[in-house]
Amino acid sequence: MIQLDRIKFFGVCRFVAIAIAFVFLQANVSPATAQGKPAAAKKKGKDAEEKPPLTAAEIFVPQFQDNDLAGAEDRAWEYRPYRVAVWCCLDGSPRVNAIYPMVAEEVIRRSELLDASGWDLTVGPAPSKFRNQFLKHLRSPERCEGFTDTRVLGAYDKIMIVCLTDDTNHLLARVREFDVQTQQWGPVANRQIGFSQTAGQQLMDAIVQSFMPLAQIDRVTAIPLEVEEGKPPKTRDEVLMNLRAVKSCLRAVLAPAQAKNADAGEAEGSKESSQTTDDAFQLKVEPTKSSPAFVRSSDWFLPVIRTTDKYNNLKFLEPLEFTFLSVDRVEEAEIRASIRSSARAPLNQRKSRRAKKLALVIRPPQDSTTLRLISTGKEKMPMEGFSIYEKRIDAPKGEKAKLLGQTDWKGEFEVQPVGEGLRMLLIKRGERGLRQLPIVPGLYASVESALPNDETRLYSEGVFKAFDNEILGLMIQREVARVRLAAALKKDSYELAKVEYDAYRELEEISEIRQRLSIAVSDLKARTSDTRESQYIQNRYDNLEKLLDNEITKEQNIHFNKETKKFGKSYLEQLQDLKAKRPQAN
Amino acid sequence: MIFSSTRNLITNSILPGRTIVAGLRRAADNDLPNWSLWAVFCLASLCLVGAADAQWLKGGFDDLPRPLVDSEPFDLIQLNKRGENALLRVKPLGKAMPTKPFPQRGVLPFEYFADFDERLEVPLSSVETIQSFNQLLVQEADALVGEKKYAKAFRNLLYVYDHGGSDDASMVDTMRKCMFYDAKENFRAKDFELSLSIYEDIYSTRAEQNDLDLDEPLIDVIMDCYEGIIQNKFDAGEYTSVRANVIAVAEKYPEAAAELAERWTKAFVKRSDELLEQAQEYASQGKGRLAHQLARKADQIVPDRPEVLAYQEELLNQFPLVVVGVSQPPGDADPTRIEHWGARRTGRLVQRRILELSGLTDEGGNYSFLNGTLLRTDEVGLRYTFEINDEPRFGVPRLNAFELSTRLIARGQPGSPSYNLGWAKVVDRVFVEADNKVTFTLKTPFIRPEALLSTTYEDYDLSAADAAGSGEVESRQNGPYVLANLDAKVATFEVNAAYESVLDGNLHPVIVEQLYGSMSSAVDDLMAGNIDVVDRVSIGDYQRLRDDPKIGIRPYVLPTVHLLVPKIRNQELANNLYFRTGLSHLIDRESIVEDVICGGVEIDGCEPISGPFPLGTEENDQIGYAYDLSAQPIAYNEPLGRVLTELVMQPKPPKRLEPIKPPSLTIVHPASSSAANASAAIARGWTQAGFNTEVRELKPGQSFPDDPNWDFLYLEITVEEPLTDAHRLIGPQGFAKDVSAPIEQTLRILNYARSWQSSSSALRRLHRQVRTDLSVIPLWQVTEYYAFRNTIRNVGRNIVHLYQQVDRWKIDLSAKEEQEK
Repeated sequence: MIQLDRIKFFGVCRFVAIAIAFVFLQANVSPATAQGKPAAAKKKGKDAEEKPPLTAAEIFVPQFQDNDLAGAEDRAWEYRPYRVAVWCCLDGSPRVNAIYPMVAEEVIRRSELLDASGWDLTVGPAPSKFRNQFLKHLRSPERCEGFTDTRVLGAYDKIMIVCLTDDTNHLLARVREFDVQTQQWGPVANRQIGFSQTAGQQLMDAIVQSFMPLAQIDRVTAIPLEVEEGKPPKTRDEVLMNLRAVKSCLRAVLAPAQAKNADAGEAEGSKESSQTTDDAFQLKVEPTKSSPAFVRSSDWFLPVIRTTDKYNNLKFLEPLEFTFLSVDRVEEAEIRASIRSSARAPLNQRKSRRAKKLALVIRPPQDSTTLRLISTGKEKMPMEGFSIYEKRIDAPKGEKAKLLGQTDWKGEFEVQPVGEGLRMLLIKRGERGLRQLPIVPGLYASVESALPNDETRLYSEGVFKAFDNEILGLMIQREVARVRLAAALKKDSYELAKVEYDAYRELEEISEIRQRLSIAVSDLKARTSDTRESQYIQNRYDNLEKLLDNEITKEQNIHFNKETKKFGKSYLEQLQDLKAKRPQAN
Repeated sequence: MIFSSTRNLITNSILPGRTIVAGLRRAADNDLPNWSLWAVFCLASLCLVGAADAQWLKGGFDDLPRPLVDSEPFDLIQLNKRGENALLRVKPLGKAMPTKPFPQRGVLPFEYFADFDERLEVPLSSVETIQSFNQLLVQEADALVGEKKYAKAFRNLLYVYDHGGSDDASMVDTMRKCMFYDAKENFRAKDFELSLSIYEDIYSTRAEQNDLDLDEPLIDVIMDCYEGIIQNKFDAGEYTSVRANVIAVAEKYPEAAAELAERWTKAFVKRSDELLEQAQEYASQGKGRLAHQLARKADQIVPDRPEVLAYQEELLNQFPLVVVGVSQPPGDADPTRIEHWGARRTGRLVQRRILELSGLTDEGGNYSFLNGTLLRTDEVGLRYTFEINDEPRFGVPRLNAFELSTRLIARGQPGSPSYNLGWAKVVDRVFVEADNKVTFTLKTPFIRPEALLSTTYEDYDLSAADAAGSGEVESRQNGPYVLANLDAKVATFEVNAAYESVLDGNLHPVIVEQLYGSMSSAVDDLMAGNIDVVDRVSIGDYQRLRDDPKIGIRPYVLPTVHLLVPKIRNQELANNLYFRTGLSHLIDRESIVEDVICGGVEIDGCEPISGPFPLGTEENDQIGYAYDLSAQPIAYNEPLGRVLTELVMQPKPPKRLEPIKPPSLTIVHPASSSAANASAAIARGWTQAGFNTEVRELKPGQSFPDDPNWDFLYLEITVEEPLTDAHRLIGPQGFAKDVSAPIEQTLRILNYARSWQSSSSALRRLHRQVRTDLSVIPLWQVTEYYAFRNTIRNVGRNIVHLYQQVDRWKIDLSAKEEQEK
């Protein structure tokens, strides 16, 4: 518990903290090094030589010095509590300045009431360099230069940016979390504060809402699915994760000693006892389910791969694009989840000791996200007119996807939020499905996806549709003409048969349409150098060729006698026979 | 038993069909693709339709279609007991008809009436009687005469007369009697015109009429008929017609009609005086239009009376007036509505746009910036400058550089009522360069930015204001005229008071638009002199207008394009291309254009088309730059159409086990006689093919239905600039919203057309794609004509809108006198 008298020492502590930090900086040693990591220190020192030293304006100084969870960083993952720094960015208005000390104290107090062991909150004014930047650009924090410097972030796991501004009628609090390990920003939580007395409470609500628990992906296993008859067996990937700090979210409660009381009741029969003895209650340790470190079954995880070098310095971070994990089952710290991704097996790459797979819980607000589609390649053209469909996440097989709309001329489509959080979008262009994009609306203001600009393939769709239609029409007309001609020949009427024969001959020959098709295909292939597009064109061409071949075979079979294995008389020969039989011919 | 042999004959007749099915099943074994298999099954089923319907009339003569004369000719064979008294309806036997008594040996070859061309035979010994079609018709005619239905009986007998019965004297005599009695009946019913035609026919063909059952000589009866006709028309105010009747009867029967002609001539002069007097009274009350109407009537009944002409001239100076006969009401008076003839017409009268199409060039439309000039100010086509001439002109709203720049910016801003997506895509910057210069730059060169800038002078939503009935439309009128009065039949436009200070000395007449249900009635009134201009002439009236020296008839520079927009309600067929293709093949475009649209007259520019854009005419083909001549119009092919439609309705297990029932279809069309006639012709074709189709007319002024209960919308559009109008017809902003992805792709290409070559190529590609995709079903293009009396001067030639030169219109009665001379 924070003691009130700490505040009395505020000025002293603050001075001490600045002094310590300054000493570290002068020595070009990061705070992490100071906590005893000699191996990394050398390397970091080497890197730091190239960076200018931090100024006092870049250093975060907590409002209160406390050491509640000292040494917690050495615990196992499941027991390791989160160290959270709350950076308060004040707009400098008298009203905000006046309530700030009270709010800071209230936040600390409430955080410990909520969970005293799962996280450790430290509140303080944001470093002055970043204060104004966050006040202006909290929705686009990438504009805050130098913020992600490990020396600025210190030894904290989470930085909670709290912007407090006076909006004339009320105070406006905007809270956004930055997860240090995954370098991910969470969504912005907004609160309007009408009464100063409730400011601390409301701010805490916003912090809890913004808090994103972190899990470590242990392994991905293949789970066999039900086998359909005549089809190869299929599997689905299941992800096993360990949630951080869950096992340290504990609290002691005084609970009735039920078992003992029950035994006593049996022994004494119906004798009533109105007095409570010392044995009636006992202290029990229970998980703090209200802790923000816990996850809900409806939560979604955002996987991030964090790769470090041999000195454990961050080498690069790879948030997996359009990949989310949905919770299937939670057993204490162990979570089993399914993968929803645009990629086939996003988490199945080779294991590496230096590549750590993490997953961050995301709880976005009910807000929309702009999906922007651009073309792959150098030009990055906006992709207009792409159809956006949605498929329900657990839709039964065969259920049709629902058309939501199309991207506009800027290649954009506004994805609206839904109750489930995640929306599984399918991107189609013409007949071809291009990509499956899971999106959590509200998580980001906009997301971008690059797709191949298959203009020739799309154009060829229209060309082949025209040929398909034409060939069908021609075959029907040929069939009609053949039936009529056969009937006329059967009636032994030369005049009638001649008319029908001429009508039949007037129809386009298969060779003619085949030639036109061949020219069109050559033209289409000349338009593209993309092998996938060429392959599509070739496949469509082959299908139509097959149809034309069938028509030729069918025509030949009409005059072919299976019993004698010989060709009978053609239509023309039959017509000539009729002509010879006419009385005028004699 | 002969019965079994008859049954065998029927079975035999089905055999060809069986053979077809068997053959086709063999084809199925060859692993044909599914659709092909379905096609041949459909074909087989169609071939079997006739065979399955055996022509054995089990109900005897009651099964025969009535009236017989409307059905296809057939003969009846009655078999005797050996044939179980079967009554067979067969194709006419012709020369194979045996004479009585029938020989006991031999066979009678025949074909069933609706059978599939299969020759059958029946032993002559089994035949009781044979009745030819002519015999059946005479029998029916006798029965009709008994019922005093002479006209119907006459139809039967006339058929027989024309088909080999002319030698039968008694039949001919019966025919004449039928005619005579029919005339008497009509006279009694005061249908003088019909009885006159019969009496005159009898009068001209028979010298002796003594045997006729008449109370007075036939010529007197004829004069009585004329008297009745003239009186009726005189009472109805049809003075032009009644005068023509009197002249005609006097010429035809100089002696007999002398008294009648003299009497009526006096009556005409008297009525003319009365009308003139009434007109003067109305004029004194300030009722100019009524005064004009009566003065015109006075002129019609006795033409060219000096006192009438003098009064008409006086009246024109007092109340200058032009009456325009129109086919559609003004609507929301928007000159850019491609699908609404009435709104386009009156829009040009009351609404001005910053840039307007004034004609065609070899490279698209010719656009005029009303307040000055628009110049391209760089070589690549990225920079354009408006130079404003602020000298006030009649009919042109004032505009300064700031207002112009605001309008150009609003045109590219989503949410603005004048927002244009095409403009938003290409415009980069707009800035005021000087107090009379506004420059805009483009992100990418666009071949015709002017086409995107046909925007209003103020930012307001014209259609929304009109729909709300707020009267905002009236207050926003900035054209040379304003709508002064509007009722169901008449709209009156007066000169816009805003331009009073710049009236150019011309006597701008009041324009009265009179709505006609049929354009032929408008033409009748134009020829009679009741109105001055007809905005749209039915092609069927073209020749008679051309022959009238008092009338001028000219084509508009743009033809109308007629299309069907599909929105099939049956969900299983809604997006089926084969169904749409099948229905397209069931439209006989050639015949409809020739008979329904053109009324048998051959006119340049009226022809079937294969795409959504106009083809142009031989004299004026600049608009045809979007038309791909290699794409042929969809040919009328009933078997193909029926097979294709049948194909998509077949069961498709396991998804659909039962065939789809042929849906009932509804075509909605705008309220115009040409659209109504054409839609009815299309509906007849589809109904014959098994799709019961009804036609529904939209409310006057409506071009799009406000309910979902329709399957096809008949559109008459005027494409001014295919490059930009393509989007207004097809695609997300168009009438046909549901289009394929390749079409959308081509529409996108059009937004960035840099050269005429590329835009023309993209438009022709769009044409081909629409012909395949049938997101709109192309029908035909029609050259539209306007006609005017010669007293109206400066109407204009090669105009896009009727009122394009309305500021120069002039009424000149001297033209009438010159014409007379």
